[in-house]
Amino acid sequence: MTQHDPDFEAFLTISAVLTGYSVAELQGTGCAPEYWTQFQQVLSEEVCVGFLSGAAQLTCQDRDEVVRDFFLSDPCHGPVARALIQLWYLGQWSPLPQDWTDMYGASRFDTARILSSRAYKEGLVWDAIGAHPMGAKQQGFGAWALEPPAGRAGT
Amino acid sequence: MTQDLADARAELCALLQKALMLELSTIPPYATALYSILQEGQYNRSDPELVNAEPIEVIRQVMVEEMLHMVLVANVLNSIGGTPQMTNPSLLPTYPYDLLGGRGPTVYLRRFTPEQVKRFRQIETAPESPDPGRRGDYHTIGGFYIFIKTRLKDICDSFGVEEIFIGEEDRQITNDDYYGAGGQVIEVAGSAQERYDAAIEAIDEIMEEGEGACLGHRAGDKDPIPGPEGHEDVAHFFKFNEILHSRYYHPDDPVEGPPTGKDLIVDWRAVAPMRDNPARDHIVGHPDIEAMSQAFNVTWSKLLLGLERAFNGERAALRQLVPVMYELKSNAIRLMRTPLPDGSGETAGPTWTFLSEGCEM
Repeated sequence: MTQHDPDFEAFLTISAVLTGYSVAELQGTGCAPEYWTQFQQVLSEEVCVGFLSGAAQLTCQDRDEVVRDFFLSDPCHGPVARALIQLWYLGQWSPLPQDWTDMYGASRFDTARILSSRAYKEGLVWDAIGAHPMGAKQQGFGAWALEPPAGRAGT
Repeated sequence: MTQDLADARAELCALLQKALMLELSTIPPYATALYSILQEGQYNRSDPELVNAEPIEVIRQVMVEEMLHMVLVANVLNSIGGTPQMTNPSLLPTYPYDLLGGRGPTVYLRRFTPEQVKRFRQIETAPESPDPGRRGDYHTIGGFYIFIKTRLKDICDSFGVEEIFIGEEDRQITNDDYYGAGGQVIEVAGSAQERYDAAIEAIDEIMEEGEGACLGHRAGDKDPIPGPEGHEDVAHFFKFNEILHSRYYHPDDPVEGPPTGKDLIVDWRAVAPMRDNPARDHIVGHPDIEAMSQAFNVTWSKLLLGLERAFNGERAALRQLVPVMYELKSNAIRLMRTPLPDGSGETAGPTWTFLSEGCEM
């Protein structure tokens, strides 16, 4: 079970900081195990361990600094962090750049795709912009006459 | 014992208010079980067919009919000059909830399991005989409605229908206000006698769709299921029995026998492992999950406030509630996917708590 897997927990902690959603909200999408599998399949064990070690730094240092220095500006962690953010927001894996794979290794799972129909429906982007995924999660008769929900920025 | 007119009217209003809460109280358990059933792509990605589509549809049909019943009861209550209350915390159900003030079964908030569907079937069980209900000795929902009909008839016989059906007609919810789910709304309007007849018709409709109490020995409830095939629908008791038997009824099946229609596929494993009777205690100290639970309760409160407005003259409020109900569903599903922090592997769930403050629409 993933309940007390420290690596999975680190993955969620980092995902929460990078996306701006809480761990509970990320779990609430029902996509966390699927994304964790994708993440492990794409990255070599070494890169994965290095990336997840950032979780410990998030708890004891300034978060913004860790996000900037350890994740986004790092040549190895930066592209991974960006792909992870896109995965949570869009439900889609965006392949890592050629420069990166030359340096840190390629994976046959590193292809552009929507991970599942649920991943599409549960993309954080819909909540963030106060909309709903087209063709799914219908809002019901007459919703077009109402003001859209405030979305993430308005709450 | 003699009763004056004011007392008689108050008695009827109190009975119908109880009926309103009774119909409302069945919705959270049904909805909780319904939303716990995992949907497409949620458990088997290699097989994209909608898993458990059939039990989902069966429970959904029951639930929307309960919503219709609530509207019908509100119309009857308004026709006699009552004031439907949907947001009075001392009247609203909290779970586990004893139906009919403890005379009926206790209902729990649980995920979709055979035990829970058996409990649903018990909720919709018909009384063995109508006689005890007429005397006020009821232990089923059907018996309670028989009592209401008996009192309505007795009181109208004593005082005359003109003295009882005094409500304002523009408080009646019409089919134009109600987004046609679960059947047709019956307006309790017209002359006093017409209103009396419509009130009895509305109560009979509730009983027929519920346990089929007054239909003799067929499982069908005489209403067609909406759709191209136009099958006759069966009463709720039989719908739950269909799930338990993995088989649909034929409308002409006798009520004593098992269903004999087509297969109905049920996968009891494709269900979120929600902990029974979700409560604040399960998530206290975890503000992220508490916030999700709060979001659900805010939406539930919005729904109840909207219903109260719609039942008290502001009929257009009803339509605006459709998106609120969808929001309630996605809030519930989100909770049911969130593991409880204790590592048990069970998930959180909706508590269906009305918040009296801070949830203006």
